[in-house]
Amino acid sequence: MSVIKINELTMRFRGCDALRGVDLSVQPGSVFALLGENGAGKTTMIRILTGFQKPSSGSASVCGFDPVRQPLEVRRRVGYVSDNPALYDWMTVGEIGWFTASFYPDGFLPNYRDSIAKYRISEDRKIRVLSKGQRAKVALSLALAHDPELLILDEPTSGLDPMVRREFLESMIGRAAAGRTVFLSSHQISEVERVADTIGILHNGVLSDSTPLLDLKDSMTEVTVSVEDPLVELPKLPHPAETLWEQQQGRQRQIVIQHLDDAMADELGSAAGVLSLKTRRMSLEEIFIARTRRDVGELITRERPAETDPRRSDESVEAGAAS
Amino acid sequence: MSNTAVTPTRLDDFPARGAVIWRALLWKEIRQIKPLVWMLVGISALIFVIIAATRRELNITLQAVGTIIPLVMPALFAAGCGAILVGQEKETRTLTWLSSLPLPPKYIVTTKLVVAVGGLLIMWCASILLGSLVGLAETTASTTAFATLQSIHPATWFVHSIYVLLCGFYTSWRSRAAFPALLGMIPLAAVPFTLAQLWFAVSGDPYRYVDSLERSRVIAVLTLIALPVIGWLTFRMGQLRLRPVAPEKVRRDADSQALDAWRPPDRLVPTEQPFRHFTSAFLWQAIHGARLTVVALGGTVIIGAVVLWSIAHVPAIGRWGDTAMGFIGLSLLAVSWMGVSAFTGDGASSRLKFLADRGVRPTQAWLGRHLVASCVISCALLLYVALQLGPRGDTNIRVPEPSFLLVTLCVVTVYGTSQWVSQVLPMLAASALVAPVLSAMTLAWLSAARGQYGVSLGWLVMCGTIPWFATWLCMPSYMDGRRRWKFWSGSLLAATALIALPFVPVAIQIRQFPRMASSQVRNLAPEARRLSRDADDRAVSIMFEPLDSPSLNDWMNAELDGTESAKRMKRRLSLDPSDIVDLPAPPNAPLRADVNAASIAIDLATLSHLDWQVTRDADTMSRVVDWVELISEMASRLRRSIRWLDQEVADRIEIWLTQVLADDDIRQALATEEPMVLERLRNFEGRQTARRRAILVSWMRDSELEWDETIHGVSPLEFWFRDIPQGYRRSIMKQGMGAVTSALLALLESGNSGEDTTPARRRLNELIHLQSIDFDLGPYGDRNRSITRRQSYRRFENIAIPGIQWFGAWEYAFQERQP
Repeated sequence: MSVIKINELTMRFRGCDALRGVDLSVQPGSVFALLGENGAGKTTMIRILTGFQKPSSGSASVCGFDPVRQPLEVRRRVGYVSDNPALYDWMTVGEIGWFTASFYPDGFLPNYRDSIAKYRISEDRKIRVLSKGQRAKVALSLALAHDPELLILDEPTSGLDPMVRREFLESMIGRAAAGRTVFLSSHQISEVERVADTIGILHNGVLSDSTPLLDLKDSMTEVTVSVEDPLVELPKLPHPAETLWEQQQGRQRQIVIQHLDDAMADELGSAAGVLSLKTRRMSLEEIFIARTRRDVGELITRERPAETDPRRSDESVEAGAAS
Repeated sequence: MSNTAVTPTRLDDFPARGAVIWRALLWKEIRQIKPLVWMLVGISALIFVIIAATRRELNITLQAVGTIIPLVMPALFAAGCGAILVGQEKETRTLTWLSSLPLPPKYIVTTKLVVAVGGLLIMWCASILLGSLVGLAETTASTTAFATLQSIHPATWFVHSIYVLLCGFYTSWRSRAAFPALLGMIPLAAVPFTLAQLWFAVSGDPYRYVDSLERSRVIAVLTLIALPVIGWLTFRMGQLRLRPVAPEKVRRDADSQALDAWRPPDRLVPTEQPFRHFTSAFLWQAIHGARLTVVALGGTVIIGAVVLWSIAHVPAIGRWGDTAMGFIGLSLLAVSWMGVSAFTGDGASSRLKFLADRGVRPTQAWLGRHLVASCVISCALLLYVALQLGPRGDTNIRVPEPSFLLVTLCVVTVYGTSQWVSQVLPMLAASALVAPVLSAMTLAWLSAARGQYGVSLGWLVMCGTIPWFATWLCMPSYMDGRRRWKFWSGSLLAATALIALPFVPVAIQIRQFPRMASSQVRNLAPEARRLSRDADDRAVSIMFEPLDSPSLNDWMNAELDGTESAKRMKRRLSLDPSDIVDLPAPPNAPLRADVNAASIAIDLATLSHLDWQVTRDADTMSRVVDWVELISEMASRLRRSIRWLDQEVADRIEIWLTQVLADDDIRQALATEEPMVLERLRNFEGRQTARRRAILVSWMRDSELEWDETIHGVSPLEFWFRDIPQGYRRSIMKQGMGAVTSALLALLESGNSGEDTTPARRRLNELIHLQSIDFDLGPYGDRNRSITRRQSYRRFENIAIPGIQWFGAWEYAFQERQP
């Protein structure tokens, strides 16, 4: 049974659609990383999953409960840390632990105190005097102290120093190994790559990938083709191959292709006008950029309609795409 | 983070944890509300201490403010509770964190309400206790300027404060920001009063008199009816806000097409720089940052100016006097909240840092924050002036119209203090509550300076701008978020200046008020001390013996016919002087003046003299001589007194003696039977010595008196300095007495040396503030010192003005020495 199950989730705001028919399934005992550029809809999705926001349409289930109708059941089973957690700054570190423990079963407070002690934060310090990183540590400790079935983290490592960040990420792997589930959104793709089992890339409200990390990386290939003439037309790739991104510089073309197998590569290399062909495995960051920058040029042209001379629209689009 | 340390928890435990949840939430809410309770109790205590420490007759304004504190403080708490417990939690986003915990919304909503009601009860108890301690309960409603507030029964205020508290919670839950929530609460809070007004208007004769008890009862009943309604709305709204947010209603294309033709295009992203000057940018920000707030507060202030003018010019307002005054109070509250909005919201330190990071100068940011409010206030003042210059309206209305300068002082002070509070207190809800109270206190302080101490309005307006300077000077620290010693010391300095500067003119006036030169003090003090030490303090008073028959005292009753009146008068004339007036033993003891007894004695003696002039018989002459001898003895014993007032009475008696002894027959009779009488009148030097001793001893003893201690006739009298404002008149009395003493000694010196006494008398005329009377016509003028004049100043009129008959012609009547 999926810990998180999302069906056709749509969230509309005035002026934009944050989510457009998103489907997702997160399996227990996994670390799921949600990637997406700013404004892609990550936080909206997390707000829906944690019962803060009703969706415009579609449904979601967290730990078997509907977050809209049963938010309390969801919150009892979930540990959630927002990107900028707002804690009561007049409380001490110890007081906020005692206060929060009142709403969870026994065992919360000892776990919290252990966690705080490991971070070397004194319990008698006020929250208001803590640094940003220390606050993040307190928030993480509060979210983890009741050993939640599902941990939802929005930019969890921002503000943490490298040592703590590494320790924290390793603990996420440990949690997954213990059968708990972690759902995190992050911009730190290199870190996500180290811990995540499954990756989802959210772009313009659409979840374009929800694939195990290894499968995703295996499926993506960067192909560099040298051609005799810039006007040479390359053959169309058969199904399931999909060209995600292409750039031409003189007589050299750089193409990101998903689901490219060896036979397809050979066929491409032996095509007329092709002088040479090189393939390379891509990092997650490169995959993410390839997935998201396809629309950057379109976005720029959409935002500047008045500045664009209709007679030069094609050039502008190309220039935008090239940039 | 290590997963090995995590102990698995049992979800089954949740339902049994109700008590623990309540305890934790109550602890949190109490901790959050405690600062507000302490702050309001502290301010109340401070006001009460000030009131208790000041004399009631001098600080009428402070007293008036103080009398409503027991009502205002709980009301402020009720109004601000929602803003603190809900609005502030929304602003700091802690409510979001709280709602991410597995907590049913009803727990959160209920604990907040329970703690707020508990805090309100504590505030009421504290206010009643403090009010009783300083005796505010004794103040009657009619003696205060806030009679309308006090006319409503305290029980009604109590019920209404619970209603206001619920209104505050409702608007705080409903509104996203704390400030609009506070604004929205006001019309809701006024609902029971409005309904009561409507009830009185529609139920019977609209002109009938409604006493305060009936009014209180109706308001209380309406409030009680409204309580469950607003309570249910509040509870529901709180739960609604803690549940998942419903998605926005996005327009369907079909709906929008018809309207699009009439709607301006969306220009969310400016395509070109709209403003070329920072002023325009700040103006745009201030208006668009809180449009509703600007419109609501600005509109209230503008309408307040019209209402203020109309009270003195529109007769119809008379029926709605209380409502009009209430609206003016509301306008001042709006001015105060405009001040609060200067450094909250977009003016908060954290947001101004955005400007500081971009190199905006503190002065520019400061101007920007005050731009809209200054415009609104200026417009309101200009409107008020324009209305004042316009048609006069109904001239029969006897309501005083506040001057433009006075209104300016009020708004400048209220706005200035409020914007200062908002800079010092970064918490919106707290500053929105504290600012009106501190503004009222500042206004009361400045009013006391004006009303009791006569400080000029122009100077007070200048003082009212001190908080403006304070925020301007602290702006660099504030923008950078550095609230350290420099910021706090600047604020403290400004607070001290605001307290002290209004009274600087008073200090200057006191310092410049005439006094005896220090060299003269040094010279005279030893002599005055010696005279005081040697003085005979056995002073006794003239005894006026009651007549055997009361009817004899009633001989001039208008109801008596002339015959009976003449009979009674003759019987009185037949009495011996010693039967009527007694000069108590020992015979050489100084006499203390009793002007009434002396006046009666002289009247009877005058009658005897007239009787003798008619009868010319020996018995009558003998009685006249007896009277003259007794009165002369009286004057002689008064001269021994060390009180300057007794010397004045002696002067008046001796003037009478001089007039009587102008009769040769009487003089001859006295020369034979009572030669001492003439000797006493001729003793010019003895009279001057007695005057000098009395003046010096009175001055010395007066200077040694405590602040409030007076001995009538030794200390100077307050009416001497009647042009000095009452607030500090007492503080200049001693130095004023010194100056008068110096002038009297100068008069003595010039009189003794035969010089013209006019300059010394002119000096006295100025000192005792008789400038309103022309010197020649006044008590010190020659006209009143003429021996031939039979009216005015001759007897006991102006007896408390020293030296007005000194060295008059009467002093030289029976001696060779002439003036």
